Amino acid sequence: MSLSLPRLLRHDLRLSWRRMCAFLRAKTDLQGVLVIAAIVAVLHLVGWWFATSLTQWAQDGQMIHLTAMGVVIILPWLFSQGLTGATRALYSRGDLDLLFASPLPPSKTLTSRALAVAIESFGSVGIFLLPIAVDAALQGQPSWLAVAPALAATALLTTGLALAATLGLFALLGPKRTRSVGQVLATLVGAWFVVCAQIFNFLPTDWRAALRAQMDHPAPGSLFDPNTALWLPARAAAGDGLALALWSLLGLVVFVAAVALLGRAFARGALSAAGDAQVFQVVRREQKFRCERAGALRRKEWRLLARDPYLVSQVLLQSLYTMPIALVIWKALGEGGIAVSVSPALVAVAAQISAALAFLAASSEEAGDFVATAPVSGGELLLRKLEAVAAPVALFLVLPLAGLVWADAFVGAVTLVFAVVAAASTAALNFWKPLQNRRGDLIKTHAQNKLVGLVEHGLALCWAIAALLACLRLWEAVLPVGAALVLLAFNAPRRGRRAPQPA
Amino acid sequence: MTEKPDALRLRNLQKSFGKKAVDGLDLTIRPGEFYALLGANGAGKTTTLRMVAGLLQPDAGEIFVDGIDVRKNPIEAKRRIAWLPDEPLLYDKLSPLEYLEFVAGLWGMKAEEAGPRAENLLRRLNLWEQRNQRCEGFSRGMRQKTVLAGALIHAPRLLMLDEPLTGLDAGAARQVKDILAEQTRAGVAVVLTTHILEVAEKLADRIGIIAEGKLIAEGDLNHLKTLGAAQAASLEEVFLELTGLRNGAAA
Repeated sequence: MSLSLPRLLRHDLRLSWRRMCAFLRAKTDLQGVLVIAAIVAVLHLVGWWFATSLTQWAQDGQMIHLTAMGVVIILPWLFSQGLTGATRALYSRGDLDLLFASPLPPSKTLTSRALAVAIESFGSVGIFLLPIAVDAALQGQPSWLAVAPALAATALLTTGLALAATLGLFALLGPKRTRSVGQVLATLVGAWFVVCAQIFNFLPTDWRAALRAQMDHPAPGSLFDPNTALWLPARAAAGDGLALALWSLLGLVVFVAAVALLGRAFARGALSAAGDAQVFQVVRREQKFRCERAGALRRKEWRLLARDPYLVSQVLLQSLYTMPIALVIWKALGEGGIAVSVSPALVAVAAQISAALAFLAASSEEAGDFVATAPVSGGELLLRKLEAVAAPVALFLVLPLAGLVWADAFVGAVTLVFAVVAAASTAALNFWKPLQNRRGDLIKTHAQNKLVGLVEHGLALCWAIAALLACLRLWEAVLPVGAALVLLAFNAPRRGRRAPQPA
Repeated sequence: MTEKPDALRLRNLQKSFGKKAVDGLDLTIRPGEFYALLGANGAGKTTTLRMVAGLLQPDAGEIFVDGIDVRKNPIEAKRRIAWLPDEPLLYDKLSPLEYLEFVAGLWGMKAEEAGPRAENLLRRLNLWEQRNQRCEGFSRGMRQKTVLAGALIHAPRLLMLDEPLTGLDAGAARQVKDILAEQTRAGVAVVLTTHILEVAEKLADRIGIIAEGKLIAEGDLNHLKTLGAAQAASLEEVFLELTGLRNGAAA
């Protein structure tokens, strides 16, 4: 008798849970539970304050607008999570070969994987939202508890849609391109989450006033009429019983339909994704053999960087996520502040891209032991890796920096200095703290090294703030510079030998 | 005429990871000699090779490669060494030709010398057709052969191979054995660790048996066969008896 769906789901959830524990650096399940319990407890404390505001909003009759805003932000986020999860389900081999080799129907495997993705998506938002909803209920607003089933229905709906979108891409583009396109798409959709969070602030004042008037007194049947079908998820989250039932039904129907209709396509897709790993990819190259040492070392890094499947999505992600910073500063400074507002964003982008490339170059050296047997000093290897990282960062920044210098020479010069320092500092951090791993596990590995990730973001933030303050000719710029230097000093390598590792 | 220095000379080599992994190892390998280093798992073979390759610092002892002190002049020593680990270390996203170009660059070869040599090696190892294909789709055997080409491209004087025949089909294994024999004829010293005792029996000029980090027996096959309690018929029997694995296997 083949494995039942609940047992299969349990297996998939156990894998998800172990990934979560690894992310939280919890060595045992108990440690994982304790860490999550601690996070939830803190979120409840913070949530209590939020819940007070929510209660006030609800009393002012604004609850539906708040949930609508939440839907606009959360729906694309969950869809992006679904895309990432569906791509992972298709491409990560893991136990998929074992499952497909077993007499288990592919639709059962897909159902279980898809449910696990939906539960992960639900958890990624629920961990933040549900404590607030529970706190609001405790403060006398039980209708906020409807957020939980509404979120579950949304997770089912977006997972079903993401699954269909991924397999559609698969049919359209083939296994080779789907992974890259899927990642870029997930990044863009995920970035919408960040932009949405600030979208109201970006709008001109008169637009906002008009929007507010429309929301307060919507024309029947218009985009802002909460009684239209478009507002169904918002009404469901606000606790409207009928809307919640309909939204849940819709989520369930889309999910079940996707799983039922796409089971075979998923199996075919996963098998051809596995087959694609066996397909030889031909590289275009000039026939001339060049092996001057410095050039050979740099070329190897560039080839590997250019062929990394995560590079485009990572660079795009870093660039997109800094856009709101520029927009917020631009808005705060007014019309004359375009150049100044771009400066910190460019510095942050330089820091983040440099960090991503340095991480790839330092931590994903697949043949580190082999390179160590070559007659090349460690210093030269490091120098060539740094050169290899610096060149694409410079290439990425040269045009915006030139534009900035043209617009305002002082701001341009300040930005150039801080971009170089920021890029050098985050690159140095990743070279100081490399994590040896295979390239295929980059994203996972980078996520696991949370401390380095946090310091990276801290450095980018410090240098960006320092650039902004320096552009505004404020002496306070030395404060974030000092903070960045302290961060670097704490993470600089200590003298002394590493403990020997058995062969 | 001055005598050629030993290809590899180890004197009282020691390394411990809490427990002694290599315990006062003495070993001398001459140029053009094929030496098989045998031992059970954890006997200290790989640790020894990693110390020679400069990947581990010995706690004590001396390592000379081609007369060069590895600890005092590691870069010069590394120019003469090629090391093949048991797990082929390759860049999945590079093609074999790009890999060889990179390795040739690491060893500071001239392009006009490295290019034809790369072509020759890839042709001999039946990888020329795949020279521009990324290694990510390669089988274990193809990866192993690519790494072997990388080890040979800079014409090492000492070739150290850790389980080089693992994962190779019969044809590829034969190719590799032929290439290794050819290397020794050209004066390259080959040190090989293997669990396939038949390979050591057929290819090696001398065989060393290592247990708990110590060399417990050394010599050619005929000499080793005399070391057993009774006259042993095969290297396998000698090996099992000297390392005490016979009883372990029986248990």
